[in-house]
Amino acid sequence: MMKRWIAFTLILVVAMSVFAGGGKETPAATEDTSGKRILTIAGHTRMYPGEEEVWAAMAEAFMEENPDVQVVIKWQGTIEETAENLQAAKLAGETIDLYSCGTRVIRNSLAPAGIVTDMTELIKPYADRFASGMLEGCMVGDRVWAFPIGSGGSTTFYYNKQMFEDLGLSEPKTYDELVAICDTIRSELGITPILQQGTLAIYWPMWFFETYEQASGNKSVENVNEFLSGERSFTGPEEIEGFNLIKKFFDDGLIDSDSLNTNADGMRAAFSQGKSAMFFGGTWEYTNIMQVVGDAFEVGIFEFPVMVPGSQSRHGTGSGGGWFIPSFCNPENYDIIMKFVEFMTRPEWAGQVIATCAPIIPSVNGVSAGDSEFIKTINENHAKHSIAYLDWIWPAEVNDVVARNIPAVGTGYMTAEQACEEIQSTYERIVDYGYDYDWWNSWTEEDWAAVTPAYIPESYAE
Amino acid sequence: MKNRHTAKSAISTILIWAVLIFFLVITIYPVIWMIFGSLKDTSTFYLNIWGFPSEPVWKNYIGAWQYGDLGTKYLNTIIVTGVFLLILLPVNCCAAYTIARMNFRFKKAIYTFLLIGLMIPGGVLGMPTYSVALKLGLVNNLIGLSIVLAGQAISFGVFLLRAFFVSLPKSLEEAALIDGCNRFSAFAKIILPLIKPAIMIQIVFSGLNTWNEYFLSNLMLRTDALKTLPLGVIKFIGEYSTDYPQMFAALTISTLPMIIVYILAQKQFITGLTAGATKG
Amino acid sequence: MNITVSKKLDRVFPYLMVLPAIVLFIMFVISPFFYGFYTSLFKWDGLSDMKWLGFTNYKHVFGDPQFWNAIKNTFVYALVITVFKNGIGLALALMLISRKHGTTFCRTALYMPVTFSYVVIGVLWTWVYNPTFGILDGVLNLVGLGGLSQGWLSDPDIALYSVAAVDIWKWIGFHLVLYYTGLQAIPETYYEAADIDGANWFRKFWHITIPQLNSVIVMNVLLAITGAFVNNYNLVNVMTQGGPFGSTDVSLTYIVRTAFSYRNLGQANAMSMVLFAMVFIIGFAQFKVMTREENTTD
Repeated sequence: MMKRWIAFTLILVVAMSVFAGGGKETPAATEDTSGKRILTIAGHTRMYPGEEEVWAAMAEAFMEENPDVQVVIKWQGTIEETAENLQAAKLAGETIDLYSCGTRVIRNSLAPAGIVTDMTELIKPYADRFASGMLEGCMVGDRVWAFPIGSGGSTTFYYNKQMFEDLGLSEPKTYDELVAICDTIRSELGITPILQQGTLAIYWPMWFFETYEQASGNKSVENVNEFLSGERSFTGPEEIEGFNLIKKFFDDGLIDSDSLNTNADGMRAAFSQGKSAMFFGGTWEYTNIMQVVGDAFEVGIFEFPVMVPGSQSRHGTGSGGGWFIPSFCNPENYDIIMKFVEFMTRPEWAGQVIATCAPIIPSVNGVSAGDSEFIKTINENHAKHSIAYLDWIWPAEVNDVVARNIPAVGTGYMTAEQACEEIQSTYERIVDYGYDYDWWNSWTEEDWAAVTPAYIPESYAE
Repeated sequence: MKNRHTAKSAISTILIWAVLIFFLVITIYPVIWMIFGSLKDTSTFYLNIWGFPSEPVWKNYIGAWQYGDLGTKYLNTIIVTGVFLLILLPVNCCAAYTIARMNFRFKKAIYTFLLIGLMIPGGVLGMPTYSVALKLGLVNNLIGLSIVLAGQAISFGVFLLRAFFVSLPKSLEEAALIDGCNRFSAFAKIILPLIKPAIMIQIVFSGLNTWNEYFLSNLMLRTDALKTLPLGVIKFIGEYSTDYPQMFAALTISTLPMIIVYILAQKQFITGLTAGATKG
Repeated sequence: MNITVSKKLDRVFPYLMVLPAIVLFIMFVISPFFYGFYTSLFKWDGLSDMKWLGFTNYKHVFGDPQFWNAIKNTFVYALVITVFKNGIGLALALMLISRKHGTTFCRTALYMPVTFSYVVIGVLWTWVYNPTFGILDGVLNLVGLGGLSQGWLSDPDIALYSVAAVDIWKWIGFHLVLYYTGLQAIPETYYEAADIDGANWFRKFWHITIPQLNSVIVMNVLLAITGAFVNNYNLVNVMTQGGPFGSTDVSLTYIVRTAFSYRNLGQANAMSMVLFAMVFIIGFAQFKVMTREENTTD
């Protein structure tokens, strides 16, 4: 036994010495041993098969064009952990020149925290490379904070085409038509027509974006901006109507509390087994739905029905993936950063990246989404009726209450009035704590100086 | 009389087995389900949820191994868990033994102090822990991660081992001390072997926690070459969809060694204490 | 000379033995904890500069209805899982300890859920509870108890218990092993003596097993309670994310959300401190009430 203890101790000592040797802090490298300049690009772990390989190949090609630059790529953590990972990198004194993550996080958390470089001037020479409206999604307070490489998405109803055909049903335009369809499905098949991924909080607000847009006479975005600046209360008739319109879906038997018991996978499984007929989701889910459904039946889509006569059905739209320059980048690197931005926004490279995510509306001009029936329908209908996602505008605290209260109102657990009051009081609570909707107006010159690039390199666009 | 007795015990045996079989079903079936899931293709995974895969898709395992780059991650995880145990076990055994079986000033205070570790909410304090590790130069270093995790496993280990040290008869060391052993060799030679089952529990439990640790590993291991298995598994989670069959394959690959270690450790659970108790 | 040296060594020996544990513990548990407390006095998003607030964060925490809702749920959750994990764990251990065959297999099988990744548990159990194709409703229908079918995760009055059941399922194997190991250590002679006195099963259980097992029971209960309070994030997150309507929101889901989704680290750490104070009081109260071992060791 004694021998074993001695062995333990010895190994411990050896181990400690190894760590002591390896643990020395190395200053952030700006040059590698061969004297090349280092450009570090980073982001959360890539989420589409093949995307990582495209970035690696792009870095190779870039280094061939620019032999004096060494590109280092670091993917770390999941998309939800973006802010922690940036915080960890910043604390460790790592230099990151370009970072890729969700646009919503950049808009709501990172830019107000002052760690995003103001790209307004930097991106100007390349602004025409982005599809119309896409760069606007990265703007807050009239400044550009990021640029999108990815696919724009929208929201839509999906349905089982085979089931509709068998029952002699056609795509609805209005809510009344949808009710009639659902009555038929319920009486013929004995299933609840719509089954939603209700345990995932983020999907419920998308219903509200639709109903509120209609209830407010197509003014939801303006209203929310007023609400967040304190000029409007959320307890008005339009907001209450927004909730009550969703409640109608429950009251009329189109959807029931089973949805609260179902997550994304459960929803897809039930849909693919024919145990539900429809669901409301994002266009980004299409590829996965098709994978799950396989050859079992065809999947169709239609826009959220018109519930308020005279209003237009409009849907949240935006490009999820954004790139930004952290304010702790290497300040000498703006030239090679923008050179790389120019490189990655070329259609041949951006196209390869975007292709991995089965795009609907590519964010970069000259990249094709393909010509499937699905993409045609989206571009001819949904894309023409688009508004900004409200959760890109309001803070996460408000979004969580909206998400929680929608099914609560739907199943009669609380009234629409109570739901709106809770949203209003949540807003007041965070304002009391110091929430500042138009933070860009209260920033000092010092704050701006910290996020303004030291110089604007020449344009590398041809 | 005798008949009634046997009938009664037969009924109780049947009842006991009924209960056991119920629990066995709900614990074994999920393992089988996970392995079945790893052998399905995406659409059968959703269509045939509870059943056997009609055509096992073995290439999920190859795909998972290559896509997740599980080879290096395996090695890294073994290093982290191994060093973690090498640090934790001697440190914990010494501390728990002393607290359980010796009298000295501040004993109660020290024990209470160490117990606090069980009551500190995990998760949120990850960032402060990272800051400390950074100051000590332990970041981006497998052994550094082991040391941090060992520090965080102290409370549980001391608490666990102490409970078993306390239950041993007091006469054991007295006899050893009379025989001319010093305090340390009495501890190492006489007491420690008797506590083997508890040490095994510490190994399988704390070892498992370290094997599966995600949160701190994600913050502390900042280069691909150093990443561990739990960090590899997130590669299978897409933003809107997850490749479950491949992910289940990756999880089966990464869980299997833990199950094997547990089965091997089983033997140690039975011997040891009982042998010691009869001796004492 | 030699004797005084060894006497001195004898006196410092216990301190030398506990020193490494204390050093590691202070470095990686206590100092981050104090750092966490320090940040709870600031307004901080983790990325920009910290702004001094004093105890304002605590004021906000005490006035936050969502925090108290989460704490209330946590208490219910803790009570349920502590009782059942220990009840079932001990019962199964007692069943196995008297068997001769198949115990190794049983203990191995029952331990399997402990090794499971939370990702798998999330998919498995949300599907078991699923109303359209779930196996639970299927089994209930099969044995003629279809009437018991519930909105397992959708009914706000039931969801918390459904999640707790999964927690119990995951950990009974762990508690079983601890109890089993404890039971093995009870000398057979005690029971033999009781048999001679003609004691029945219950008397033996109450007068021999329970007192002999005291330190192991205290440990199991404390682990279950503290786990329920400070380690409840992963499971709830994969099962319900706190829904429906916040009915399964527990301490850590809300704290983690405040920290990482609302980027309010100061307030989240203030919540952690409040939670710690509660667990500290409950944990030590339980410890004091249940510990009966002093007379056996000293």
